[in-house]
Amino acid sequence: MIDNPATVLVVEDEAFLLFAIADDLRVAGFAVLEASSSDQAIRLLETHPEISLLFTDIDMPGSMDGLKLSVAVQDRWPPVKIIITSGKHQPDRNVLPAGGVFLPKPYSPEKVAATIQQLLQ
Amino acid sequence: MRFIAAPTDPDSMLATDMVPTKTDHFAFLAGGGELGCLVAGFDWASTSLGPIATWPQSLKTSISLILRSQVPIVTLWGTDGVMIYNDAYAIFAGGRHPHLLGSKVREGWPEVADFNDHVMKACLAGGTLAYRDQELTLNRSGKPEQVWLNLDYSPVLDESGEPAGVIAIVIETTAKVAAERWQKSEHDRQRQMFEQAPGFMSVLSGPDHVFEVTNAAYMQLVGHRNVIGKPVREALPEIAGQGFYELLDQVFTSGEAFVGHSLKAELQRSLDAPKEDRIIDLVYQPMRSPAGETIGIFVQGIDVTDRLIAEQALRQSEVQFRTLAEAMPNHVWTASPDGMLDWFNPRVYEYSGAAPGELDGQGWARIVHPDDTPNAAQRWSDALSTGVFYETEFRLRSEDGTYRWYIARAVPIRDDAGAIVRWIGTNTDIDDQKQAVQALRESERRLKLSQNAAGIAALELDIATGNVFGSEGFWDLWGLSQRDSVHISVLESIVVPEDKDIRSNEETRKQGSAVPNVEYRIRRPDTGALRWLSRHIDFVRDETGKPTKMFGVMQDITDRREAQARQELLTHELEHRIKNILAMVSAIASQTLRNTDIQTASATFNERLRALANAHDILNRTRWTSASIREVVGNTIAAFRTEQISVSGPAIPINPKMALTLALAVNELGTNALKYGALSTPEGRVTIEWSLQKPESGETQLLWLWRESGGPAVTPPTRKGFGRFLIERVLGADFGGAVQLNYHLGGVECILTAPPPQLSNAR
Repeated sequence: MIDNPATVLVVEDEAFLLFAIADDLRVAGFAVLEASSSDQAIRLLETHPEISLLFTDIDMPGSMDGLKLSVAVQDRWPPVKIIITSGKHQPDRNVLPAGGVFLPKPYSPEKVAATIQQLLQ
Repeated sequence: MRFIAAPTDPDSMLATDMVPTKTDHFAFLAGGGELGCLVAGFDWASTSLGPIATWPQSLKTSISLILRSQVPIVTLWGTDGVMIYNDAYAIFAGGRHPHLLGSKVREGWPEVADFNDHVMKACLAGGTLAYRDQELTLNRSGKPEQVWLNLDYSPVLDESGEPAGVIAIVIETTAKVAAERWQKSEHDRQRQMFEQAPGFMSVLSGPDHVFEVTNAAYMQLVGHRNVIGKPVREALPEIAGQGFYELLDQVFTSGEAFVGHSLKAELQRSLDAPKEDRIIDLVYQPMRSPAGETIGIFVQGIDVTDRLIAEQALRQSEVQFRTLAEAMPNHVWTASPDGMLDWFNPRVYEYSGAAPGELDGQGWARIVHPDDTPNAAQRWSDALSTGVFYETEFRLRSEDGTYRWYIARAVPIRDDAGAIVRWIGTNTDIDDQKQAVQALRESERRLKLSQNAAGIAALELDIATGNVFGSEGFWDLWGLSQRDSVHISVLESIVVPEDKDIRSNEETRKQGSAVPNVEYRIRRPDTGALRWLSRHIDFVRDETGKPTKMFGVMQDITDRREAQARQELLTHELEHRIKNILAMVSAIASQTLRNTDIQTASATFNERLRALANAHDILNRTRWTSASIREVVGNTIAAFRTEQISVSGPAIPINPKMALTLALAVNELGTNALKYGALSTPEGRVTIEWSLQKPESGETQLLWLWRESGGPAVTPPTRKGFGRFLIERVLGADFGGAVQLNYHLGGVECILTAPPPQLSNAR
């Protein structure tokens, strides 16, 4: 893992949270890309094919929220694993992309790191 | 006078001049007055009598006799009737004297020649004539004059016993006749008045009361029976037993008049007619002879039956009016023609509690509300002066002191001649109606007010013509000038094209299928502003169910829509904030608790939460719309030594995310300064400054600066902690700019450069 760290894309419009979890995941050994919107996330996905996992918040400004982003990613980059988080109630199973995992806010960095590990194995 | 030469005193003339020269022949003229002298001086030779010397004794004797008489006498001699008269006759003859002397009677009085011719012939034939109040027209003073005379003619015999002349005694009775004539006409007039008097009159004479005279009214009273000459008991047998005979007897015997009013008498209009009740007023006035004894009775009276019947009818109708008026639920009152109220029905007294008489005259005003009195008085006075209908509304005080509205009406009652004899008025309680009207008016006013206040306008569309009638506020709502109506197409063109499917159209209106409640946008023609209108409609249909009218209310809901939008935004923002609070707190905790002992970490954590809470307080106050940099900075540094901190900068608004981050950043900077920097010594100073700056080239920028001085020497930290993470990374990101953190030897410096804060990009 140290030699070839998995690349994780974190999407979160709240800078504090984005940077905090991104730093935590780096500490946990992942390579982390940060995006504060879906549009930014799509651009990163297009330019970073090494991304193997998407960790995204649902509620975000812009034309695309986290759920739509997940659907788009699943459609265009099927191998990318997806973790979805939200401070609101858990969305219905059927709106989550197949294979996607939901983590409620607030999350502990350890729990996030463990979930990522689990999905990437 | 032709004989003026003669002496004025006839006695002296006869004694001195005439008698001595014509001794025997003129002796009979002595003492004969003026005429004696004239006769003596007359040229009798030129007449049929011849000279005096030749006159027979009978002539002389006659002349001598008449000249001495005070009664006007004239002698007419011979068949010519030559006239010789005395002084008294001369006065009677007036202007005819003195040339009447010696003239022939038919020539001397030509105007009555025929009369005198008859006299001459009759008397010379030996007859005598006598006339009393003989009317003759004489011309004594140059103009004809009607005179009345008593005339006595008798012949004068000569010595042979044959009539030789006529002696006439002439006494003028004109004055007496005139007086008599006047008296007679006066009598006739009185008689006529008596006859035609409206009252009945009769004169009864003697103790048996015999009818002497009756007038027409009396005859009518007794049915034109012939009563004259009959005693009353015989003439009017039907009044026996009614006391009239006895009254007459009493008046006759006592000599005292009797006056009676409204006496009932049973009379027959004729003997075979049925008896009738008549009511009469009468007077029995005794008539006395010059000696003072009663000789008869003058009866005078009036049949008042008809008047009494009329009065009774009036009283009856009065009673009926009162009965009706008293039974009426309304107030009823009457007033005299001068406007003084004189009667009220019991309702008025019951209602007002006034004592009888208390409201009479102008006392009624006492129960009228003081505010209404002047108007009521004015109208009453107007009605009285014009004599027309009176109507006014006023409040009347009831016994318990409360007022109720009444409508007062009155009409004048006129007699046959058109004069007002009475006013009859009513007061009708209209308080409930008045209150209802008032309430309706108020509710209409409230509705209008509330409509105005709520900005609600009403519309009515005639579907056939497409004409829209709007309420007052309708036109303002649509940005149109005030008018009565407008064609629907005008309104349709004002609705923005994007919403044309939301509004009604000709088809949906005809079918009545237009959506009842919609909201659409219009572009106001007057201001060009885009406004949201909400519109509720309902259709009125004819018997076939076809819509004929469309009623609706409209409201400009732009403000509401905007508020709603703001609210939605806020709610979203708040949700988002709250959703992330725990995440933030959790992250802060995770950052804080890392690599430190639990005690220090706990204190730090509390400070960070406090900074976060302060920022929340500010945002709560503005409903999470915005906060100003000054507020956020001021609130956060309050926990530190503010006397060592100087703060300056404009109140630039920032969005909630910026506010939270700035609060946390200032807290980190302050905490660090307190532990290691300028705030750790009393000499240290912190300057916080910010402003919007426009450099020579480029866009306007926000420059926010934290600068410490006077504190201990600064050494850069060896590791990046939460503070640096927050300031260097999050603060810049949240403001969309960059942060530079400098560890100068003289003190920490933090510089944030960012675009001018945008509130709309709330996140």
